[in-house]
Amino acid sequence: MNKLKSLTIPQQVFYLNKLYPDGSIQTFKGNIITWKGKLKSSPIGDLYDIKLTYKYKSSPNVYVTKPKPLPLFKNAKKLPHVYDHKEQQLCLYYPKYREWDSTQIIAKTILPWTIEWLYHYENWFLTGKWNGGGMHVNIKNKLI
Amino acid sequence: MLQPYQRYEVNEIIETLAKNLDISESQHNAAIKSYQAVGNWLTKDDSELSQYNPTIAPQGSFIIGTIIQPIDPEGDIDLDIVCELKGKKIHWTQKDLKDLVGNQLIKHKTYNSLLDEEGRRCWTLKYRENSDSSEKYHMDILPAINTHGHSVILSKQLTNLESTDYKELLISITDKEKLPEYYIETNPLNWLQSNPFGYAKWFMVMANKYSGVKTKMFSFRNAVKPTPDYQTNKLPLQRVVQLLKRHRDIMFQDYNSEDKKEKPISCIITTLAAKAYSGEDNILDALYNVIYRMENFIESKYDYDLGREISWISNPVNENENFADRWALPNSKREKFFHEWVDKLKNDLDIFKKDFNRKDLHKRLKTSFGVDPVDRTFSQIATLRMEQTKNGVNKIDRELGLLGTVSTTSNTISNVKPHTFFGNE
Repeated sequence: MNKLKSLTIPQQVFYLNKLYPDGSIQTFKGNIITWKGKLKSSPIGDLYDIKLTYKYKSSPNVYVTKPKPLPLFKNAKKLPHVYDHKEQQLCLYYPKYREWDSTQIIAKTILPWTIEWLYHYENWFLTGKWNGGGMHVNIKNKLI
Repeated sequence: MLQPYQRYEVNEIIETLAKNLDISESQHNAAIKSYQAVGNWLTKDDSELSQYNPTIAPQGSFIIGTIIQPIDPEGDIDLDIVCELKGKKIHWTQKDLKDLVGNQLIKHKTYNSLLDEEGRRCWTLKYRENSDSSEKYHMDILPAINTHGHSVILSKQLTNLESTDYKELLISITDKEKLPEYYIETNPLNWLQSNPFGYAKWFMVMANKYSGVKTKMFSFRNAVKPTPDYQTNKLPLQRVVQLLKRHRDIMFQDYNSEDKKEKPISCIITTLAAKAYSGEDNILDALYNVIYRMENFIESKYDYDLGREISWISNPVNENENFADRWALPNSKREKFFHEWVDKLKNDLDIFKKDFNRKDLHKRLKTSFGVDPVDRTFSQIATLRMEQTKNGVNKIDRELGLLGTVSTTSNTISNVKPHTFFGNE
């Protein structure tokens, strides 16, 4: 049985450069990537500065670095679907469902999901409703 | 200048908004049940009308697909019904016919209590379903005589959009203010000739100028059935008229009650929009062009009684009828209000002339069309995007962002893989 292999750092970098040529990448010690770029939510939406960090075989972390802070819907106190409200670290998949692992191409999963997050964030800002679906975890539970 | 994908996204929003302004399927079905019930009562065997085979049929916005929710959620939906007889007793005058219909309505315990003051041409029922307070109709029932022969011709005529002979659809109606004819005229050919079904057909011909791909479009054949199906696929002209009527409702909602009566009437809005529509294949272009062209179809005619020029908006199926006749009444603000309304439309839609984003659009649409339908629209589209991702058909462009399902292939466009957002809170 063929077991999928984890993508190497150079492979992840290759796809990031190919699919998002306007972004910039820095690699540290051969096993950590930092990608920075601008992503737009939708054709009539806004442009956001995004930072993605990835350590080989770990999970990618995505941050909205600009605007910071992101404006909130009227009475809301926190952003929806984030790991860290202050750092604006986005929550793009449910780890328990194994929706992402190191055999996947970051540029084909994480970045499109980021764009999608931005779209639903804008709608949430306007209507107060998050229509992107997803899971919530009670703040008392530990994150997986 | 809107880029293609921006135009696509805006059109989706505007179309979804128009759908949210429409009546719901349950309102549609309840409306049918209600006029059928009234119709059954009017055509009962023991009614004096029964021997003339009266038919009850809706006309107006209900059949041309431009009906919208009332501005007040508790308000009445307007339903225009024609009660058409195939003939009459020779000695019946206009008044006799009008009274016969009125008397039959009075005989019904419930309708009697719902009957409003007698109108110039119609009887009005403030129709309420007993159990469900959400079913409220302002039902205008128009008694009429058909001298051409109804059922055989109506459906054939209305769906044969090639032939534009509207005269076969003329009906004779009563007019309380036409004196002394109302009391003495017994020949229906000398009565006021009206053509609500001819008008409906004219509108359908205009809407059908649509130059886009005609798959899954509104079916006029279906719309003129005795029990038409609820349809959600409508042509750009239909959606434009819905948006314009709603815009008018919102603009005039806070005017005092005297001024409110002088707001632009739906008949004028519908007629000018249809005249101005040139077959645009998307709602945004149709809306824009209609708004900028509408006023060009207002003519000017010399009125000998008044001794001056007055504005004239012809009934397209009866050139002698001026829909803007009340504009010429003394002290009327109608003409002024009409042009102010068009100016506001142009103002409200100038958002597309410069740079704007989703937030700007949301805000502008809310002030023009009301908060609830706009919020519902944005949420519905976002939910659709979520479902498209779930089904693996949602796409993004690396520069433009989330696109929904689009059928073009490009190396900047890729699929969004199904996933589940997560996180605290």
